[in-house]
Amino acid sequence: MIEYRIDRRSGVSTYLQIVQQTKQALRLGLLEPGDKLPTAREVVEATAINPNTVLKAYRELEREGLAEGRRGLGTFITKGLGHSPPADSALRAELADWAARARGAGLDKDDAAALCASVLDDCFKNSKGDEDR
Amino acid sequence: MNDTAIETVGLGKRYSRKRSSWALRDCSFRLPTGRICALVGPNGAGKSTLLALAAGLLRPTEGTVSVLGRTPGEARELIGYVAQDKPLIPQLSIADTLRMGQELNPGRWDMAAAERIVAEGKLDPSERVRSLSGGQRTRVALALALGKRPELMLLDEPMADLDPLARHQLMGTLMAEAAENGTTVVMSSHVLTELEGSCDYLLLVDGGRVRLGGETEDIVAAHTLLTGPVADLAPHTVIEQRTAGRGLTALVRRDGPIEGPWETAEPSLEELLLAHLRSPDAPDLLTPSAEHRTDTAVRA
Amino acid sequence: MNGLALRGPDWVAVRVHRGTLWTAAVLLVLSVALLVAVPLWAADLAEKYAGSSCPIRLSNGSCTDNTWFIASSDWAYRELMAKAGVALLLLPVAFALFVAGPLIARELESGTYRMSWTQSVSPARWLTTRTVLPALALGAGTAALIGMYRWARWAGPGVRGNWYADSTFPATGPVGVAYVLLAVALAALAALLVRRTLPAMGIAGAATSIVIWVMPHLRGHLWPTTYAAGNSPRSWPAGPNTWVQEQGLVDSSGKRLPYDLCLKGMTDENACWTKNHISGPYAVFHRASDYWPLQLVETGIVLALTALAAAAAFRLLRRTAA
Repeated sequence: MIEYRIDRRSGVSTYLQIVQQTKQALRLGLLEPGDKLPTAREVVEATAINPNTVLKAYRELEREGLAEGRRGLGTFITKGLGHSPPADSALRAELADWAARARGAGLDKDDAAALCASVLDDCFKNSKGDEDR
Repeated sequence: MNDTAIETVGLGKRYSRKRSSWALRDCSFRLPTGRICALVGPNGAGKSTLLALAAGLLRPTEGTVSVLGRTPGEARELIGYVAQDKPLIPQLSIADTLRMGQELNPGRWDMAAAERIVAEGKLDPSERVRSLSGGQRTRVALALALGKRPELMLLDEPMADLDPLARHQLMGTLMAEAAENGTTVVMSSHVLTELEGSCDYLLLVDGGRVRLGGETEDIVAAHTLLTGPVADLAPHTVIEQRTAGRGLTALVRRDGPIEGPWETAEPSLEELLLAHLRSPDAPDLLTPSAEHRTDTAVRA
Repeated sequence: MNGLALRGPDWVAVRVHRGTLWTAAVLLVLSVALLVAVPLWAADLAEKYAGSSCPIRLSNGSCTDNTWFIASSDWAYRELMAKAGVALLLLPVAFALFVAGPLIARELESGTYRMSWTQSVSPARWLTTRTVLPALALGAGTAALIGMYRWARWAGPGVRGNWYADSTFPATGPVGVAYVLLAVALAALAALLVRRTLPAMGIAGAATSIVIWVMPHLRGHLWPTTYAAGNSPRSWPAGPNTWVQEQGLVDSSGKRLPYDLCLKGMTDENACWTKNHISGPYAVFHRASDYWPLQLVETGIVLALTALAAAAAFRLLRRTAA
């Protein structure tokens, strides 16, 4: 089961942190369809955040079709995120290849990350907007 | 189904007959049920008075207050209240204190829940209340208040004098109980950061009246922080502005879109509250859900 | 005490004041034991030696030890009755201190009332527990002691105090119980007025003491008195066991004159009587049969005061809290 970590100083609203962390877990395969999300009670007991915030985040996940509330049972993951593992590993291999070349060209880790982020920004700018807003 | 936890109309409380000694004056607002509400304001602003009036510990000097559609006296069974100094009977053991909760709340008391809250703090039920630390005492007071399964929890400075760990644990316990039972919670504090993450509703009490009331998000969203050249800010309501040379920093309550040569940003809740406290003449803001609906709340 | 099936706020009050209640119960048992044992002991000795050749207070030198022994038992009995009478008179003051201080004002002063009043029990119920419960318990305890005191007066070796004495009258009848109830009501009122432990105890104790001190002065006027005049100089018009309110001399026209009219100066008493046409002494008094009317009237007055104080206390509470 997923455990949420709430960072009050991140500037990202609490409910968005929950949504993002859930998606991250889906992408990484830590959560799979059929898995149960922690109850609002469990989340707020550990984090001391507002219960309505948790419910709002879960509603957002439901709205996006990622989760489903079942009355009296809890909220369950209905859909995975991310791509099929083969495609994923192919992309990963290409990226690893690129990273090695960047390193060879004298870029350090921060330079490579900045370049990567900049390309991602350009690439996804007009596709979907800021996905969580 | 009643969707109003607290509603006050023209509520005022004066402790002595002397003039200008109003602890609370002309206070009108509504708190919907199911919210976790931060009652903030400087020391002496009237927060404790407001909570005591809602809990039925005081009678209003003027105006009315209703709780869950009833007078506070009639709603006594539905209200949990913990005063700032966490009053408990010192010579009783924790177990006896919970037994007292059972005796004083017949038909409502949930012993299992109360015992669980005590157990979560790793407290020995046979220990006497007088030997507890501040955090432990707060936990027992919370167990006593939550054990009666209140629909409305009124907590006066619940986290004052607690270390950060105890604060986090107790807030977690409180939020968990609220999540499970849909309890409306009102917590007062003069330290906003204590409550910021846990509350979705805000009441700012200052100088004996409610100056801001409503959903935290809506209140924040109604304001904008502007920086840029000095210029006329109309039609927006200026809460606070500072000029340095040709530069201007202002917190405004928007009236329509911001048009002008300014950089805009959403203020933090703390910036917003501080700006209001520094500007006592700024107009009050109650969001629609915080406006009282009836002309008089149930007569107390 | 724990076996009683007390519920709700009554259970809480008894649990919190458990120690005091045990102490009070032990004191009650000791008092009752003393009031049983001493009169029986004294009466037994008195009876034993009444038939012997050494009657009490008549020593011919042959049985000094016995006389001393009897006299000391007699003395112990009389001391006990006098002290117990005073104790019963002052008991309401002690109760007032307890109810005003530890029972009510301390909770208002320390702030625990805010915990008590925000349970499912109204402040009025809270105050009822703190007045009716002690009134019942203390009233019953006092009634038991008064019953024992009456029995001890009857069972002892016939050296009883006057029925009208200030420390006997309230110790032998219902008025003693009424004072306890008044003390509880005054204590509740004082505690709600000042809401602080020590001042509340001071005021409640003082108010109760004042009532206990004032009432004996009014007691003689609470029931019609009897007037009687003697027709010879040396005849005493009031019989034995009467409570004399006023005495003096009366002349042939029925005019009342001071009793010491003819004792002043060096005048010849007989000549003085003749000169003033004095027909004899007179007395205004209560007969022993006035005991019960006096008890009942005073009890009524004290209970009326109790009701007033209790009503004021509850009214004050209602004005404070919702």
